[in-house]
Amino acid sequence: MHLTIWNWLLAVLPIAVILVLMVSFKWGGSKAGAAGWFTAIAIAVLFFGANMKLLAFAQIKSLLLALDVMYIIWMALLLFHVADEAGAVKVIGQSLPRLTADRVMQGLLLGWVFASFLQGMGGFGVPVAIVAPLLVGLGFSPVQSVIMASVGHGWAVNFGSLATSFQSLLAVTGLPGELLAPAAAVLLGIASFGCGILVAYVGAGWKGLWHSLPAVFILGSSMSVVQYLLVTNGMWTLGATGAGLTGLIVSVLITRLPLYHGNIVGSDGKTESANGQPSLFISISAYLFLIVLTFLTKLVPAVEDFLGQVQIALKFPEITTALGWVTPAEVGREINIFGHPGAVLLYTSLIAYFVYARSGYYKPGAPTRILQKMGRSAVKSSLGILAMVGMALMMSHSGMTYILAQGLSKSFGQTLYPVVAPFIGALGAFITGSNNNANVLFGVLQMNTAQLLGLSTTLVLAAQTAGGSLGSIMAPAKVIVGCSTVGLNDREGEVIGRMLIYGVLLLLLMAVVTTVLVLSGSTL
Amino acid sequence: MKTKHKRFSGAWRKANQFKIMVAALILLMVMPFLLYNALIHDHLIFAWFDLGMIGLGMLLIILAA
Repeated sequence: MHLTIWNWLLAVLPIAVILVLMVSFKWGGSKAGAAGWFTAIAIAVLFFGANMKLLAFAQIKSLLLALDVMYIIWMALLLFHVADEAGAVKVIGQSLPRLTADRVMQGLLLGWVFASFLQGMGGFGVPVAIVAPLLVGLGFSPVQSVIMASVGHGWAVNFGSLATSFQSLLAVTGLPGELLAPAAAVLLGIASFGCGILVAYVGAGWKGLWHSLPAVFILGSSMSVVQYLLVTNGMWTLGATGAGLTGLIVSVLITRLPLYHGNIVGSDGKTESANGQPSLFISISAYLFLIVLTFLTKLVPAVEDFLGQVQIALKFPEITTALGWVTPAEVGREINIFGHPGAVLLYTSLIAYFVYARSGYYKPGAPTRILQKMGRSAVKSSLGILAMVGMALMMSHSGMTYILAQGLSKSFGQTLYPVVAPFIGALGAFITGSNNNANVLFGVLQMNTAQLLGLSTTLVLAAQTAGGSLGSIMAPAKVIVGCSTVGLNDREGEVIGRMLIYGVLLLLLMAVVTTVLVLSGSTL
Repeated sequence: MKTKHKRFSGAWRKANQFKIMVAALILLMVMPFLLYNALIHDHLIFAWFDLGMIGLGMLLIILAA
């Protein structure tokens, strides 16, 4: 399959359709995703030689990928509504001013540090789904909240979710983690400062940004150094979790500084309010259970093996288009029913429900209300994810994604390629909604291009995964999740429009750093 | 009268919108498994039917969401 300007423009059309419909026509993510799906099918059949079997198998694979994400979304929403119905979310929101009355610090603590910690533990949209409603509870607008929670955890995606995206990059390129980890940690460590600065800016404008700079410097340094030390010592699965945990501890210390302590109102030291609301400890117990259960299921091999006994897996044959683009035979995404992060969220929800119910924090009819609220939010976001992932798989199976990346890389030579590399990673993450998928799609392409151009493979691959990490926060599939948790259904276009600006700023930062490192002959 | 009609049609649409979205979700989550089964048994007519149903699910999203 040869690259021409004609087939490159055709390949970009489904993405352009989604962007135009969402940003200009203010369509919701699910509606625009479905339109993009139809566009991708038409182009794949008419111009890329896709046959019926390709369309069918791509659609089945996309369902498995979507189920993997939807399992987490549904259960994250369940956990949130279990806590919310008991009044726990309100209590956490009300308790933060007791730690600091400084609005910028509250935003940084939740939107940057706590979201990054959650990304390390769960990922797959969990940080936005959990943090955005908490920020709304603190008085930030729904749009601000979704953007802060999304941008704040962008740097932690690659080594988050126990480093699944990084592991994918290692798997497809066949390179050792010890080789790729340092460069990726450096780029993402620098990105963490950018994420913190943007969270402060979105939350409190220029004034808040200047005010927050010392805190951003201290928190960013501590989190990025801890992440670097963990991943360069072979513990990349704990990179984002360890960094996030360090960030939380340092945050508590920073809020003791006079600059960030603020005038705390209503801090009476009581652990339970007079009107029967849960105590702060019981309120956050749901999230403490989540941490304990995640560690248990991921770090204790016996538990992991026990829960990993039942999996959904389908085998797929090799598929070839009429133009000769081959998708090798493979086993589709395996869904581990009882050891999946979604299952961990379900166990957490059940334990939390039991604890809150035993403490008498639910009014009659609570289970029905919890399930109804979860269903209303989950249906629309699930449709968006099904449509988007369906389109992305159609594009990759018909060779459209490859043509897109090839066009981008061939347009830029050795000097400009380091600038482009993070954007290619971000493109993959944007259309698939996942850093993991972006690394699978473009990892080998980036490695081969770097070798052909005589560039450092490790730096280009680090730029790929850093770009994927930051690009995933702009992905419509993820934005839909955030919007659905704060009642912004049908306003995803507005959020994506603003997210694109912040995401591109972060990608430009990555492009500059990568170029400087390449030009300086760094051997990271 | 016009306002009353608008209000009525808006409420009707809202009530049915969720049902249509649930129908689309069921189609998009169930039909791919039937499609896989049809493909591995080479039942191409069923496969085309299942693929058509997935297309219908996508169309319902555009109409309702």
